[in-house]
Amino acid sequence: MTEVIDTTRALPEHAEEPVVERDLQTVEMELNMGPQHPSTHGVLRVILHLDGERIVRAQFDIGYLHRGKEKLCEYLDYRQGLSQIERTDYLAPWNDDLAFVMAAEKLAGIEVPERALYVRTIMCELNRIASHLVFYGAFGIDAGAITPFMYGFRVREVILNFFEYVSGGRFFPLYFRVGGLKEDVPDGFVERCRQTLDYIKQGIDDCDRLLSSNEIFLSRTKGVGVLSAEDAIALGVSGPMLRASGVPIDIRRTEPYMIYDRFEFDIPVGTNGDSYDRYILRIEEMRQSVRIIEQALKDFPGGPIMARMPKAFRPPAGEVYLRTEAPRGEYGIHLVSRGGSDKPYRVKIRAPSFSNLAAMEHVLPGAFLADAPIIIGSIDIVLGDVDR
Amino acid sequence: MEVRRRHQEEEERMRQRLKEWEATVEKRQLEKIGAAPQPQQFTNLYSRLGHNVLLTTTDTLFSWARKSSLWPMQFGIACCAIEMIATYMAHHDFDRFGVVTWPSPRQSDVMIVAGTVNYKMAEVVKRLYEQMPNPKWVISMGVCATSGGPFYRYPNVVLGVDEVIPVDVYVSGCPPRPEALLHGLITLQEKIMREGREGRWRGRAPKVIESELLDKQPMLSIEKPAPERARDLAEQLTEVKS
Amino acid sequence: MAIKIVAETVTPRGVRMLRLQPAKLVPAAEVEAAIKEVLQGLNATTTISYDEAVVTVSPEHLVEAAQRLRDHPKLRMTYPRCVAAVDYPDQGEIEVTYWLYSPELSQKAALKVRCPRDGGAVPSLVSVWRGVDWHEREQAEMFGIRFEGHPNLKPLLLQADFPGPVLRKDFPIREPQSPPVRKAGGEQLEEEAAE
Repeated sequence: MTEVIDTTRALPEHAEEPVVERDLQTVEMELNMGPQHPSTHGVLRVILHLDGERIVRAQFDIGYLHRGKEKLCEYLDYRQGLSQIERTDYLAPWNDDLAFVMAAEKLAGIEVPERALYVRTIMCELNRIASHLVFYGAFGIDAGAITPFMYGFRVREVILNFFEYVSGGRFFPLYFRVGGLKEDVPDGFVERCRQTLDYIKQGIDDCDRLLSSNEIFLSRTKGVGVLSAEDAIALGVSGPMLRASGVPIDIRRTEPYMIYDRFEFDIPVGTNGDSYDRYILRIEEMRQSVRIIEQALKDFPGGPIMARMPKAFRPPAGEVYLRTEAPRGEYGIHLVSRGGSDKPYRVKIRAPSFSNLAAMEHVLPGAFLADAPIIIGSIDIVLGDVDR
Repeated sequence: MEVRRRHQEEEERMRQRLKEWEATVEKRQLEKIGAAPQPQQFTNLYSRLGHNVLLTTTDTLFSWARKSSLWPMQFGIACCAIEMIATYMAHHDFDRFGVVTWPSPRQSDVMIVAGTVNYKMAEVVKRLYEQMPNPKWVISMGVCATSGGPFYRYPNVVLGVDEVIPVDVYVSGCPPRPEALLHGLITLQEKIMREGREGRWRGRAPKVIESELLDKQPMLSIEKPAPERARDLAEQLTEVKS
Repeated sequence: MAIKIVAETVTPRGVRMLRLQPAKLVPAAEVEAAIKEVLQGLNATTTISYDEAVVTVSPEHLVEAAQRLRDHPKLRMTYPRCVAAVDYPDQGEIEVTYWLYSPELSQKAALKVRCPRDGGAVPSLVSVWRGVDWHEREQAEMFGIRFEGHPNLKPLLLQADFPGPVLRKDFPIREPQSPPVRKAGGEQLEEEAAE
């Protein structure tokens, strides 16, 4: 790889000299997969060093969506801070809210009434389905199929209508409060939820049938972007990405919070750790979420929706780290309070996509360039999470 | 005096002969056609030509063509991008307005800035805007792109994308409902129809907006410092409040 | 693993579906006792905070303590949950916390270290857990502390020329702007916005 082809040998006066095979001089190419790209999910910038078609090194340049939510939360109280926290993982705002209010409740030792817990579980599981549908659509686009996007969003519209019916906000609900819920669910909640579930079940089956056995899709995703189990644990990867590598850690089961230990549901676990596993896990997770919601609707209790709380919530001094299973992985809130203030002292958001994306620096080298969108798409990142 | 009278007589004789000549020509034409000369009153061209020909001004025609096939660049920054995507999808269809998302800035007409722009991203937004060919429009979607949004207090956030690129339509909301974005697009279409008369895009390139807060360094170098930018930002922060 | 698999099925598409039993975490008191035993001789102080065992060490012993936490068969803290730094200007220190978890033994702990605010440096734990790489980079640029031994301590989220560490308590943010107020009688708008 050091000498240049010497074309002077072709001249007739040099014809009697032996022709020696010399290598072509090749140079590593630096390719910028820039912030504006149809298949980076948001404003992610990857600088790929390529040797031909193989990726030798991948450098991530993030921060194009850095909005300083952790800093701003220190100036907002525990109710206003929700508006910042929701916009971190903006595809699963209910789960983000849940982590924050649960952390504040743990700090102050507040017990939330049963009805509120059931509503929280139902809405968070519906959010998981909605988020996985976006993943399904976006992953289809990365693999080159456009119809799954339409299918996924059609089902998602029904879920978003339900969110709007319950909380008033399609996208960012601001419904959970420290100690319970903002207001009670509207009349006909259970019935409407069941109708939504019927539609969702049919929709998930449609989505699955459309893409999961497509030959082109399978050959594009099987064996691509393999992450081994030891690597996954050491890198702090969480969520479906960890489970696809064969590690059966689901925070709803390993560290049960709220009322998840009352419900029966399975955890899909992958075998190979490739992109297909990560994809098919999420489809199965959607079905399991439907199971959880059905069980929750069966024993939906009555009662108050808010614990007895003072008007201004001032938790005592302390430090707590609480993690929940968001659709992307482990969403944790590290909350520090110094007592006597209605604003937190420090909020650190442990975002799942941040660690999952960091793991990509170890997975991308060795893959083909054409597999890069598939691999990055299969980890299901949300740039609001990564950059906060 | 005599000469002038002779000239006037000659002019009258010439006019008389011209009238007779015209009359004979018309008569010969009509004989050729075979129709009797009838006095016809034409109010406008439509009644003469029937409904076979559509006439309009070229301004309206071009504006109508431009508004009916706006191709936005596939460019979603933050949460508003998901609502933008939902507007493209089957439920609130954007395609019926002729809107087709296009990944390349070189072949797109509209840039829908959906999401918070911070100083790191503003460079990219400006570069993409400059890469789009004329005529181009910008819809600023959501409160973050309009004025900084719920993150306006953070020092790294640009207070509205109109500090970087000129904006035509502002759609507010956090995120705006798909119906609101549709309303924004329809407003832009009405604006385009109006613009045709004013001639904003009639071959005249608009003035490139120079923003003092951004420098002109190439994008691929991450580590090159930009001292002017740091100084400006520091000045801005100190003059806010120490 | 301490995760008990109750049943296992396989879907038609070949996905393993595990039914797990809800796990019980080891109580914080036991973890604290185990940590005290393992980190003997390293000048570690342990407390219990809510339901976590928290151990504080000084920067010199940090890497050794982390390796023992990871490798000792009683602790096996192989999973780094989170790295967070907190700024305490009144104490003149920045405290870095490593939240850890052991999937095998189903227990969790926290490792804290303090460093001075001005020119503070903490040894980096990238050699112990690879996953703290980006977390340390982010906390370094946000708080202005150095992690010694980190292979690539360049700014991650902020631009290279951003003035100063943002998350410190003395870094300002913009003033809140109140909307303009219209006086009664529809008189001229008066802006009450601060600068």
